[in-house]
Amino acid sequence: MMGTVELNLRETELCLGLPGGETGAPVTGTKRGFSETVDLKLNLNNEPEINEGSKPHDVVTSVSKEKSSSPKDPAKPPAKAQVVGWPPVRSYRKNVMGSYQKPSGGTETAAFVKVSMDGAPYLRKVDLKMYKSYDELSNALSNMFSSFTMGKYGGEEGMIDFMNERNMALVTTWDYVPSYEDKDGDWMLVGDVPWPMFVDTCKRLRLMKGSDAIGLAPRAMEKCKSRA
Amino acid sequence: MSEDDEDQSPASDLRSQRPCSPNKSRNCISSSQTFPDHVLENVLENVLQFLDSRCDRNAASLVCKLWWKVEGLTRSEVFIGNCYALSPARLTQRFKRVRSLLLKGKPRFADFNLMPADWGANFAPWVSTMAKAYPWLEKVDLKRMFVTDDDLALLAESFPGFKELILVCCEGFGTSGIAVVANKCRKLKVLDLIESDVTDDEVDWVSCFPEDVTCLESLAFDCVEAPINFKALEALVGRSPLLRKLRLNRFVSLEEVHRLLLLGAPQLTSLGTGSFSRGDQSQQEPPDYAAAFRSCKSVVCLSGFRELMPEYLPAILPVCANLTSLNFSYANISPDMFKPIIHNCHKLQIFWALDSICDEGLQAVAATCKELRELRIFPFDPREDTEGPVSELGLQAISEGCRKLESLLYFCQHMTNAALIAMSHNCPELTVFRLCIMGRLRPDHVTGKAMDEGFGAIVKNCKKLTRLAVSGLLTDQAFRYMGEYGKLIRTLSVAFAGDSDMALRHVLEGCPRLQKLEIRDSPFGDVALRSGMHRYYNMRFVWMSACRLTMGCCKDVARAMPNLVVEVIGSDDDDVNRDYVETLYMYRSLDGPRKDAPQFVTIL
Repeated sequence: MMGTVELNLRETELCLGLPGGETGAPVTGTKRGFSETVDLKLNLNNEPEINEGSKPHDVVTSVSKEKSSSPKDPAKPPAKAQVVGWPPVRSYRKNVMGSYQKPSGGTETAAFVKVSMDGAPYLRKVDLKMYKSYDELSNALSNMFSSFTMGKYGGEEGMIDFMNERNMALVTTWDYVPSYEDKDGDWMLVGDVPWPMFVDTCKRLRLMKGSDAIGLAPRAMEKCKSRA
Repeated sequence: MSEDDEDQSPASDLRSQRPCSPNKSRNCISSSQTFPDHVLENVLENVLQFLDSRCDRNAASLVCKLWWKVEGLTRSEVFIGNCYALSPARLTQRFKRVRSLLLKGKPRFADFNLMPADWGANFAPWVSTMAKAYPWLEKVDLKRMFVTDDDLALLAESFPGFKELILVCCEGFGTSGIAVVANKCRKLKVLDLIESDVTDDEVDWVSCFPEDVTCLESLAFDCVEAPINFKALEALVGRSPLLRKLRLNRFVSLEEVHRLLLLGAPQLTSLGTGSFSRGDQSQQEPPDYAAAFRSCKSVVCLSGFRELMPEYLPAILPVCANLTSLNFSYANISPDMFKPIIHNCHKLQIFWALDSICDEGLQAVAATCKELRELRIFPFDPREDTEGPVSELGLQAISEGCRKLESLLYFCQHMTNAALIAMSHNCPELTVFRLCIMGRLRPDHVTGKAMDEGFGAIVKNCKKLTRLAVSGLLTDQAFRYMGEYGKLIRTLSVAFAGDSDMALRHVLEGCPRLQKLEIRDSPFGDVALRSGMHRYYNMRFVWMSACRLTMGCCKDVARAMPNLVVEVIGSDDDDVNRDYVETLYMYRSLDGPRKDAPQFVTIL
């Protein structure tokens, strides 16, 4: 039996705070304003009653219990925190999508760049993301283009060992200098920047004939001198 | 594909059966005075075994006690929409010769982390009871259940004729459980793992299938996040002549798919392509993927593309003209990549994709796919504040081009009433309409008004509508429309909507066919809850979270309705006397409150 229940609307009114007496800015009307909903912040430190913040579902349930009356709120623009379970995309799907999105905002697609070797009849393509260092790329390229370098120095010796400082001094005597075109359209010498940065900025690779690379090589020469 | 594929028939089978009226039983008795009871039973059995549909069987079982009994003997497929609506013992007492069970567990909002993990829906008591009662069980289809490896092992050992295992959105088991099923169920035809959380126990389950020719017709493991033994898979496909459906996970590369297709392509009707990216980069000449797809003469359903390398996408062109179902929903495809493909898919009926195809891509779909029945557009970036590549433009185009549309799920950032009104007029066949405007409380972004008129038009003009999910800025008016016009609505999902209790009252006092109600973060309180008490016994469940319910009211409801299980779900340190109700989940039950409720669940 239900009996009479005094409809105390104030009590049932949704405040963004803990039930059981909450002083603070009076919430007028039953319609929740937009700003109230966007104040759903995960602010566990403010919640004296949630003392074990380690449990994930406590975090879940504390979202809607956030105090709306905390004095520090009014000055800040409402930060639109992510509400739990919204938008309603299954966690399975969210996890799969999440793995697509790197922090940089890029996707998990490959980073193919064209590789041209001066004098070779056709170009090749490599996926820079397949390699973890300049060494690996160097090996892969030498495999790819080994048939073209048989001429003068033959086999692998004709290719450049990018990061090998010992050889940097010999760069002008070699057939090919590895250069790349970066995002700004400039042609740079391979090997200067950290590998991940190189993968991000490299748009095209060109193995230049030594004689054409004079413009680039002095930079390398300076580098070697400064390292020596 | 079965994200929330809900069947159309009404509630679960096992309503409490009242004894039939005196007149009816008298009629039964008088007819059986001519023939002995067992003869009549035999006749009935032979007749009733032809009844397939659940509704028909439910109706037949209400005729009289005799029919109730015989129907119980002849029903071979049982559907249980809520695993806590009855106990396994009741199932085995009522139905004696069950071959197939479809069982659903957790409420849908559990998918969105609105409920702690170990809430329940355990398969264990079901499998152990059925192991003794149904030795001839052939098929188990579970949705949102907690299944352990031990449960799977018991299943594999207890049912020698077991043929079909389908696990949708389940969890609690790993590759070791799958291995046992693969190994012991010698008659296995179907092993479908769909969007389930399968732990990697580092067991080579593919090698566990028996050595000789298998009966496999369908093998789906696209959700298994573990590498597989490809050689074993190749051998398995080679000795599975009946295999028609194969859905690979993302650890299968394009080259491997190519090899599998060369083995078994002409018979396959459904293919999940795995990663759709090259595993071995150093190979000079990629194999001719298009040729492999050309040999897929029977493929009508294509999915996968889990790590798509877009430059290989054109390889699927040879099968496009035959496709009736295409799932791109894990592939970040731009409009330019997409348009040449979709241009060929004239027969497409089911299409799932990410919003990365943009409004432009949707326009291409509208231009080509005149047979489209189901469209689902998922967000690539599921956050509230992003730009949103699809909008009312795409929806408008679809409504104009795809007049046969029946089911829609659409995530977007902005929408207008005009587009919804247009769709309500253009697509009269709509039965499922689920629109998620990801920014909460967003109004019509052209007029600035609430989305009431748009959703109102949908419920008013789409007379076949059975399932509705609303979003955006909605006032009580929208709910008035729902209550007044939503005559066939069975499932309603509401989030961040409405102004007052009146909104929910409109729905509870209207919507005569309402079965499943799920509400979150809306200002509905005790008055609204009480207004529905006349109908909660006729519903499968009600979910209300982050609304304005008090413990007192929920207790009143529980007291007034003894066959209703009223669960209040909160955090562990909740005081039972605390007044605020975080989450209310209530459902009818024939066997009273469950005994396996965890600590954070209070049953009133």
